[in-house]
Amino acid sequence: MRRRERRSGAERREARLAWAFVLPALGVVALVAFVPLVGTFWESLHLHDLRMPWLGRPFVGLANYAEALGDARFWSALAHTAAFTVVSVAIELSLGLALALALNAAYRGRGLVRLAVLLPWAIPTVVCALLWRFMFDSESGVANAILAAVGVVPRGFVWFIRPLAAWVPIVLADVWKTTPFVALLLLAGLQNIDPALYEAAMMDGARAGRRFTEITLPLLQPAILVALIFRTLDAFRVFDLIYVLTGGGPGTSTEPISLLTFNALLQDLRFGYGSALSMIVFLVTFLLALGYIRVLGASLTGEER
Amino acid sequence: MRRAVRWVPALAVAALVVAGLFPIYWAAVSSVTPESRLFQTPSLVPGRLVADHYRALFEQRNFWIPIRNSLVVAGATTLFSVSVGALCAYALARLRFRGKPLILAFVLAVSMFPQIAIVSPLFIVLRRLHLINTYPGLVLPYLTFAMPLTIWLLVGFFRQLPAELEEAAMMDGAGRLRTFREIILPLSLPGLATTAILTFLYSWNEFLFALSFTLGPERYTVPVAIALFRGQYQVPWGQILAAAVVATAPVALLVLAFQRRIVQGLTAGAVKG
Amino acid sequence: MAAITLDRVGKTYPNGHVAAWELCLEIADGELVVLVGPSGSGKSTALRMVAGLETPTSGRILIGGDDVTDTPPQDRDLAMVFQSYALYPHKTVRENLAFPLRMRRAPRMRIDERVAAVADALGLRPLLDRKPAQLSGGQRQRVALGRAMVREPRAFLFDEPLSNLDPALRVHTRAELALLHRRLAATMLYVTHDQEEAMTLGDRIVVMRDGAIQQAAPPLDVYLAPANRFVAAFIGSPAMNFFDCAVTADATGARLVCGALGVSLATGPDAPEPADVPGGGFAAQPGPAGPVSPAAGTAVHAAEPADRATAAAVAARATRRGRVVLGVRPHDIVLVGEGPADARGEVAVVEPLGAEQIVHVRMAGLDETVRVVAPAERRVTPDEPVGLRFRRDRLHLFDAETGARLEA
Repeated sequence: MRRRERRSGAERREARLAWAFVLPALGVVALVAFVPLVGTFWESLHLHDLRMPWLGRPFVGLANYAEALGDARFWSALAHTAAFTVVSVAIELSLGLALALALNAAYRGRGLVRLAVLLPWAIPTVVCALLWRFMFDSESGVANAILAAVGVVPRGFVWFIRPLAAWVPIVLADVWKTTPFVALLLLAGLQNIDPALYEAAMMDGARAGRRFTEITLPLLQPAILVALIFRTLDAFRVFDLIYVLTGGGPGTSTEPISLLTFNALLQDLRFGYGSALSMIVFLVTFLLALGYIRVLGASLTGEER
Repeated sequence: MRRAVRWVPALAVAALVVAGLFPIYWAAVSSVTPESRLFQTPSLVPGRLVADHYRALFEQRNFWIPIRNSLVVAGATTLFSVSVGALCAYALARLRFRGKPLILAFVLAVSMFPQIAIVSPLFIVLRRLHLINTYPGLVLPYLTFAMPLTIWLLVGFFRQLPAELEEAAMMDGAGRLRTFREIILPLSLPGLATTAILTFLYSWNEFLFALSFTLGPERYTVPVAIALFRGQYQVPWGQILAAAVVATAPVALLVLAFQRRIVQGLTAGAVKG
Repeated sequence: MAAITLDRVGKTYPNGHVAAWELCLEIADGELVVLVGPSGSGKSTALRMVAGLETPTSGRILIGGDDVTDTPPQDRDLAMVFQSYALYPHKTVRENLAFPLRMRRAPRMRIDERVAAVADALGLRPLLDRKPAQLSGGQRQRVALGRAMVREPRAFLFDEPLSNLDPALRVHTRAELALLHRRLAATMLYVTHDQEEAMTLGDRIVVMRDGAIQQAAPPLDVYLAPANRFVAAFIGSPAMNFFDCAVTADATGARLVCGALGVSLATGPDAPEPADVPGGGFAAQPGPAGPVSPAAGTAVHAAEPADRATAAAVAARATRRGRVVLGVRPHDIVLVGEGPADARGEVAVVEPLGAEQIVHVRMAGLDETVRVVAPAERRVTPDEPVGLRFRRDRLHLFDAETGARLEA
């Protein structure tokens, strides 16, 4: 059968209108997000130190990348970021799943629950960091007082001068702020599961445990995946929380890659080197995001008739 | 056994409520506790309440300025990205043209950009345009996350509207633009409102760009102002917490008023997959 | 009002799926044409292409002689009633009715006048200030109808407008629609998957399958002379019985055999005249070949005079092919006890419908049961042996390979 492709006037008109609608937004996004990305790459190939303008802006090739890869501080920042991402996302997902199941089972107090879930998510991260800094403050901190009373830490324990202990309030703050969000996503996924499936499984003789592994988990898998990838990307670019909570200290022992980059750019004003760090952050995120689009993008963007 | 099973979720939910709200409660209580008592052993129930910290915040520190800055920047960002994004989202959701999946993937990709990756060129460009430390110098960078967010959310909302309504309007003699104005916009007001609220929240809370592209207190946004609050000799916790409460208040009000909508908007994109 | 012409209209989706294939159809001014077919047959695509909501990939569409193939829907001056009604949920009934006029910049006075007239005609006056959500299904349907009637479009399009109504209301509204068509004398194109709706409403019905038109003819013509096996099976309820028969020549013409069924089609002009048989004026008597054996069935002549020539030609052609599909509608079969019959079998299931009953008859050598509509008074019990007699002037023959109707 011969296939005749004809672009009719109506289709062309519609496509023209569509582009007229799409282009302004797309142009803005390209201008403020995409063009700068190219700029960052270009910048990263140059020596550009705003404190030493007399050096000019010579092209140095991949020297900035070489410097980063040879710098122990870079590697430890990368390790911090990776460790923080893995630990906090693991806690958030498991806790979030438990909470979602509990929320799905509980009927009373929906309004209050929603508030308790949404408020931590909605408050500025900066404020969240301050709250937890205040609660873990050595003198007045309520968390400190409670932990001391229980005997976990000695009275007057100073969290923020210990390289490992300083991570505790950071992870707790992140878990506090984002677990509810994860729970919310998973709860929506749970509520999408047809209750008749559970009834059918019950009639088929499946006990609660089997119903969880045979129905809940497989059907919740897409939602879990979304939450996982969202959270991973988000945790990997952690900045506000640590900037305010510890400033990367003591020393650089809680410094994530984004804070290192920020400092290189806006404290040391080494734009070439900082841009190279930016590109590395971007590349890592890009690889993570690529996984996201491959796993979910198809179903999200391809759902046209 | 059965009773235990029934109690576990209830307990977990109660724990969630306590854990979620306690830090906020604690900050609120501490912000009205006199400075001298802040550093004594904490007690759950506040003793004497004072408004000292708030008075200091607004009288000495002029906290009105960051609030105004945040309102202007977040408001302008929201207005711009929702109005421009709505057209784009409508086209992506409903009109037939080539390259749609590519555009959606592009928008999705940009929404996952780490902000730090574009700080350096933005700084250089904004400096050249003399936009460092100005409102436009913040709104423009904010569009990098606001536009993808609005487009993504609105595509979801527009797709939920029954296509037959638009077809009916066209049969009744309305053109595409007319249909958009008469049918789509009124029907998607809830979706537009939700999108606007979420965009506003994200813009209000943004920190990295605001920290990078402002130079002085006269252009600091609320998060930057609070983060850079450190006093000369000691941490002014009372004022910091008062500021934290002030910074959270608008957000909390929005959340209170639009809980249901926000949950819908947040989960809409995720559940489909 | 205007005539609508589809001139070799086709629609192929980018993925290669053919939704419409070379559709040619002339809808006369004032005619009500019903597109009917199973889901996926392309009937909705055809309607939506006339509406302008879909763009054909080939061919032309003319309305009132103007080529509108590239005209956007809003400029075609058609009115459409959607399956979901598509009432604007944020507008009141009044605003919904006024919308098409407002879009065409009608003067205020005229809008009010027309809305009032339509509201009166459809009994919507007390509902004018309600929103669609506050209406019942039937009321919504009437508002959708009203929105189409409020101006005088060149034609009305209906996309399964009754499928969301409950059965009683559907029959009632169907009659109202027929009345409306008579009163407006409007050109109407109507899509449905319900063959009964198609039969009762259409001046002409167009049966579609896999994007192609199978037959376009007045309802009774389609019923009496279906163009192919698909149309024969789709139109009429309960559906036609089909027998895949072997054809052999016999003394007077051709003989069709299929398991326990044997039918002789006489070709000679001297074939016996029909005798009276209860339930249908047609002949049934032992053929010249006589009863071969009860198991092989009993041969009967095709003897309706008017049909003789046809039967002769068909039989002659069928004989050459060797196989033919015989189609008989359940209403055209009479149950007999003893005596000569075209086929014999036992009753499998009886479905009483009240006025009549559907008797399923099991026959040796056939996988499917044969459906027979019998009067309710006829007492049948399961496993009872019965004979079937086919009404001779209502036999349908189809090509065994192509399924096309075999005619002289």
